[in-house]
Amino acid sequence: MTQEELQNLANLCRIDMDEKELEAIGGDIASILSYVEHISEATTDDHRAEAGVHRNIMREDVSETENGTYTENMLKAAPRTENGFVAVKNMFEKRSSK
Amino acid sequence: MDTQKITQKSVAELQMLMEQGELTSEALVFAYLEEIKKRDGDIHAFLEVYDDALAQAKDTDTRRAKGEKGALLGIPVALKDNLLMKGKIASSASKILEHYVATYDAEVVKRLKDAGAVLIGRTNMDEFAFGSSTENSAFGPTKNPHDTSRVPGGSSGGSAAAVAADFVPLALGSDTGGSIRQPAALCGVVGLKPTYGAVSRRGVMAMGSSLDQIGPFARSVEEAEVLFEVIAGYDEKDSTSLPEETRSNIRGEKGVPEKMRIGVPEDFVYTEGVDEDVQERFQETLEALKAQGNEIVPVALPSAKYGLAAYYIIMPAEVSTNLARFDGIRYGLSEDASDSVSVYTKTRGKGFGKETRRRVMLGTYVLSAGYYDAYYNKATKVRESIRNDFQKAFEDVDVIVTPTSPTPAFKTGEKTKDPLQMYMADIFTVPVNIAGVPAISVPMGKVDRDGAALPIGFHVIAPDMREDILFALGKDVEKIYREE
Repeated sequence: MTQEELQNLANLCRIDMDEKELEAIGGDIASILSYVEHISEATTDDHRAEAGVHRNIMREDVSETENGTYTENMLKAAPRTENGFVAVKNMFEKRSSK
Repeated sequence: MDTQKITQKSVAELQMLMEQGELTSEALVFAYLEEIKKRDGDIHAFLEVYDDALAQAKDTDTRRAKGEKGALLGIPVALKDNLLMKGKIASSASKILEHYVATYDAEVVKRLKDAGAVLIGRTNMDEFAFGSSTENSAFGPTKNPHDTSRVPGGSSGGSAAAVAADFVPLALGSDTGGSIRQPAALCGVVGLKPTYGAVSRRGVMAMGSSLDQIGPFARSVEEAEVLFEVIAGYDEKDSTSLPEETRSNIRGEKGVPEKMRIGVPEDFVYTEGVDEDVQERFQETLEALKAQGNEIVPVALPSAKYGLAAYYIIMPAEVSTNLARFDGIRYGLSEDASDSVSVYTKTRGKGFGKETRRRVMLGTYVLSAGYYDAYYNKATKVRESIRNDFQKAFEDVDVIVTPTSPTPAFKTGEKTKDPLQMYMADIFTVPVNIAGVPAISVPMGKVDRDGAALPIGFHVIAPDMREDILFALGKDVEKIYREE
């Protein structure tokens, strides 16, 4: 993988990494991939469902606890809160006024 | 009193003493806390010993005085640091959760509390359970009680070491690719990975959701069985929990064969990379089991050799998804930045350790467009083949056995430079999680390394929900080495 591809992957992972670390991790990933690639030699039944065998578990979409039971504790865990909400920073840049 | 220390007695003996009024839980927990104080500085099995352990113990003494009985009443149990206990820190040995306080009890914790167990503290682990040596903890490594220059295995190395060092008679761990069985083997204790779905996972931090199971550590098979029975059961709040009506086997209703047909996957076990004396011990154990009247036959698991490769695709893929929740917004570490995306990247950049970054990167890569078919899709199909191999083999045999780990405990620092070499430590345990079947590691004697006698483990695998068979054969293996 090129440095640019690694940086792109780190962006997708949402992890800040410097160039030196990216290079090291790129080497690790290359060696792990060269090992896991030998599964291509395995004969598999290609007609089987791709997602494997699973069962769905559904439940009624109703609240099991009274509104507010956990609110205080969960807000306490959040790094930034405002008026009973979890506060976040801007998602988008403000359009500069012309 | 006899010469055996109170901290070395079995759970059954302790129960008898408490029932007879010769021992209180408070005195018992105090004795364990003293051992921890004296010796855990060298071993570092615990990240925290709860300050209310003695108060919990007193409370169970009151419960007993009121007539309550129970297999774990007053017995201390340690929790791996990825299990939630309300009001206590649960950090998964990660900087990103260093100060995180759980808001509810994991189902297993609730079951332990109901049973009267004293939750004594949280044990060290590889960060988010990523590792086979407990060296990936953000809070420093745990050492093997048999030789403190060596690792205890991992990722549940703190729990394994705590039981091996007599800091606690029982502990819980989690096992995604061997994280209970491998440290149990390296520390000379018993460790069980239950059937996928046997134990509720509500309140354990998810790693590889199609692989994770919570299970017990103990000094004997019998004690592991006692703890397993307390934590196993249907939980409607875990969508992967097995419904009660499917559990007749777990409850032992099918009966265990008196003499077993034991399958050995020979080309898998007798290969390069598995230490010679480990192979020898394994063969000796088979001979002894044969002498007990069991039958030993070769068995074929042709796809098992692809298990580790499939695992290092499926697991990181699930890890990269599961760890997306650590974003610096709702809980845990948060690094300030001007916009939300920078809060994510800075927080994760600072809070995640090296192996965590590696696995999230790898998982994101194998799931990305263009690579999905070659990696994830193929691995899913290989997984089906491995599961089919096991099912087919179990038509012929009652159990399949291997060594738990290809080597005894290695030196601290020996494998940290080469992640792939570290991954090889789980070659025998990983296919079991891939297939979802239960397996146990039971001590099979010791081998010598540089003058140190190091324990190794015998690994028994059974069909879905046949934990009863594992306990039965596990006890037979114990007999061989008790008599030694």
